[in-house]
Amino acid sequence: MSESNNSFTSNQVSDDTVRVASANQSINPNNSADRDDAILSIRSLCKSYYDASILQDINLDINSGDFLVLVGPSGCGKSTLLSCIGGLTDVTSGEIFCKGKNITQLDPAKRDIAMVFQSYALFPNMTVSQNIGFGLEVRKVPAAEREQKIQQVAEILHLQPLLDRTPAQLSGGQRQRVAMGRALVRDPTLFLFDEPLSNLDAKLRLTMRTEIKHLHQRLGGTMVYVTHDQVEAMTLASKIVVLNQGVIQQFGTPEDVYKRPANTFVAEFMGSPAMNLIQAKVLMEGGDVKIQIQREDGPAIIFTEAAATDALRAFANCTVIVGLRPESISDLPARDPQRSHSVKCRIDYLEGIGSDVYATLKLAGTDVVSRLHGDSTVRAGDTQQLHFDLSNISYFDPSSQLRI
Amino acid sequence: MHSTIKRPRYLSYLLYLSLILLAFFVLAPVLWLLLMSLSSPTDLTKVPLQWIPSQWDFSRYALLLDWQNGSGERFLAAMLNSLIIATSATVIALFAGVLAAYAFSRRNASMLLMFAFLATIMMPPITYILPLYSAFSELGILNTKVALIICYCAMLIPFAIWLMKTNIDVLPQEIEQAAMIEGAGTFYTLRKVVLPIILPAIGATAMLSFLTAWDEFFYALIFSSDLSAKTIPVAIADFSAGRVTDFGVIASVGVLASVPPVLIALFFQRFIVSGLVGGSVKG
Amino acid sequence: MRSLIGAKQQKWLLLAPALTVLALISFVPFVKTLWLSFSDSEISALPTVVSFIGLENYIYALTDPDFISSLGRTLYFTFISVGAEVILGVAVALLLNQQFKGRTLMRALIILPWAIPTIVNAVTWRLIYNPDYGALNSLLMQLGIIGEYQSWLGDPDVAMNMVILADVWKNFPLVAYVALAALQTVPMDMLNAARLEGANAWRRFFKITLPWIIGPLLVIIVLRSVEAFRVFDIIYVMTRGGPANQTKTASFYVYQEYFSYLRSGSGSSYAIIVALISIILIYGYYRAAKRQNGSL
Repeated sequence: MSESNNSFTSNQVSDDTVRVASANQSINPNNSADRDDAILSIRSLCKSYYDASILQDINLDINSGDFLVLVGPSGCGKSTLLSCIGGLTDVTSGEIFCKGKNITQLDPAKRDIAMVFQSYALFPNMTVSQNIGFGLEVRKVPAAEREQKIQQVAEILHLQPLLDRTPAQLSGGQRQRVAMGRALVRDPTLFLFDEPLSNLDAKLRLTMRTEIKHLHQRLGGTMVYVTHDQVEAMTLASKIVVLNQGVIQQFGTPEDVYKRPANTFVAEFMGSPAMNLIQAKVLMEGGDVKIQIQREDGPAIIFTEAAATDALRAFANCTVIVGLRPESISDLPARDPQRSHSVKCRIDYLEGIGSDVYATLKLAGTDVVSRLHGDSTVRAGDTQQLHFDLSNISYFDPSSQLRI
Repeated sequence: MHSTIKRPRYLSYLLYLSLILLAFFVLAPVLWLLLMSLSSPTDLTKVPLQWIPSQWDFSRYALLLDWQNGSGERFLAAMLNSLIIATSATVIALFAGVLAAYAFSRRNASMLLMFAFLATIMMPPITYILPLYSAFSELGILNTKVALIICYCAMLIPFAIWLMKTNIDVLPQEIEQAAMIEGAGTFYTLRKVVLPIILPAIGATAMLSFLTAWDEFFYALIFSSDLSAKTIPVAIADFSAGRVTDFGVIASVGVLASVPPVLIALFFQRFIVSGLVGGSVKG
Repeated sequence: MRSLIGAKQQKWLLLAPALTVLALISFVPFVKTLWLSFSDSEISALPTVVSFIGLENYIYALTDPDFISSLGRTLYFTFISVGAEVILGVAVALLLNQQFKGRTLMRALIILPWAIPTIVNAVTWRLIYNPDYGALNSLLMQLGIIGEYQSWLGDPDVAMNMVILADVWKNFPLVAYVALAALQTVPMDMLNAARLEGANAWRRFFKITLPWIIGPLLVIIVLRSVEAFRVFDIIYVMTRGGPANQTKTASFYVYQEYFSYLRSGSGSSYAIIVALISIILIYGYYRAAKRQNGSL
């Protein structure tokens, strides 16, 4: 068990592996998961293509009913990982277990997995009902039973009026539904989704996202879902894997990943606008840990870190990177006054989006985004009292970029 | 696009003049063949020629389409042989071709092997003919349709693979992957998913293969000696070389032998041209 | 970049039928011909003793002036024929790429010569060239171009060119279709930009259009050359190699060596020499196709 825990976060810098892994131990969502009761377990999976390494030492476990989202920038290997699970790509080394059974070398047809493709991959020569029933036909399910299951799925997905059409006669959203129907009808162990919403327009994407969420809650299947959209990841997932350059950056619940990013990559990738990463110095004053942030247009900001860990204390008199989300720098007082620090700051420029106003200021030489209330009347160049909410502050080691 | 810029008048004249010349060059030999088949022998031996027949003479067609008469039997038997041989070879070549095309397109079969396949049909048939002759002779299948069907298969397969490979290459792979995830094996996927989608390409390949087999002369000349296997090209060569002195008969044989390929080519032009061009112009 | 589980076994299963046919009908016979070319084998009803004679056949072949000149004639046929087909084909393609009434019909019409079987084509042109009653003689006489009927295929100086004309008529449509398809991919923006820059039609053709279509054109040129180099059927019907052997091409030469003189050993060495030249052309095809399609 400890073996699997240690490998949830793979790091480029080996010296830090142990420390970060142990930092993650407390937030590991999976400490009960084992190869035997996990629906899907991946062990030391590597995939390379000639000299290019696409996936490196991937380890993860998910349980029945989990909604796992693989998220990362394009080319990070998330789709390849999904193909490996589906058996569409062979792995270079490592193993994949499904319900405790090693399926690494198993033919995709025998894995009891359903997949929804980015391009939907509907069979253009078949009607909607034939598309949905294809897997049942392959398995020689009797026609009557097949018909009944198709009707059931069509009802769930509101496809009844479309059953006799061909894919060419359908809109993008309808094709998407058919692709989902084809996956749902067989009731497989695992559903794989490869960026299923990326070909839809913005409005439809929102509707379908909600629909997928409802389907998951209603049917309770186990899902592995690939997306490059971090909002999609946050809203859908029960667990998130953040991938970059073939390496798992963090594996955790959406809350973990958002509030306690394992490194600066995750901090910047998840959330929009991104988390502010600000250079700061750790000062020791008596027993207190003080964080000092320099600025050009005023005196340095110094606040006390009341919940300083030993790891942070070890950085005394050293530079660290402070991570603060835009919503943690606000014109409104923080929820917990004990963990708040107020400073007057000069606002450089503003972006209103209706509900909120994003104000940019300069701290320690970098642009820092703060989120003000939508009714704020502040103008560029004004000085504004800002409340720094320190309850969700993150610290990163500037050399390894890892969470302290 | 062109119409946005008006063409000068002299260029228009030049264009239409060239088109008339082209039409004449293309059509004249064909029309003359048709006219010869319908002219009386006396019109055909006038000097200079009587271009438009003084009377239409359909007697050669009646002669050739009659099993009871010697020429008719020779002609009809050859047409039938050609039909059987070309059709059988096409069907077999398509079967072997589509499987191999799938291997090249989707199972990483070596492109060098593909090229080796193509090279076999580019080699002159004289490099194969003698060993084939002795092999067929030992097997006792000289002067049978089977021998020609086998040879034509070898001739059509590489070409069929190439045409179908280019068509499978452009299919989105996800569709086949979806079928496999749904539990279908390779052959099931091929039959139920891939083949129906590339049906137009298979049609084009079938027609081009049939035309190629219909046209073949060298193997047929060597491997057939009588009515049981002679194909139409060999029969035509016999007619034109033999005792027949009436040009009209030879022309009629030519016209009748051209009917199937010309009809196929005209009706399925779009298909065939895309098949012909496919390999050299991409997209 | 995706590879598949079990792909290797399936690959060979899928290839098996094609591989079997081609191995038995093309590869094995080729190797056997190669073997025969080093022997003194003859075609005979009686069992004969065949012995290995090394390169003797090749030395004989390469010093046989008749064979060398038949190779020369074949190359002449190939270059002139394919050259004319390319020039005519590209010209026709440019013409059919213009806007005019009845363009679809004209484009359809072009397929006619290609669809006529090769043997019918040969027979037709033989009748047209007939020295006594041929249409060409009659037409040229009526137009006042010639004074008396000519024996087009009987004159050693012109026979080959007349055969070439028949071959060009049959095969230029293929080049025209390839060129037309390539022309339709030339970006209009590029041509319009050149026009605005003041380039005349001539310049636009040589600087933009031709470089754009040269790739596909090269593929079809080499493909046609490979075909033309093994020319047999049209010669067989039109001239049987005559007059005075002036149209006796390499394939026809080998055919006679085999089936008239029954010398299978030396015939095979001729065949292998012809094959080697074909292989050079085939390699040219490989390069042209690779250049055009990235891979093959």
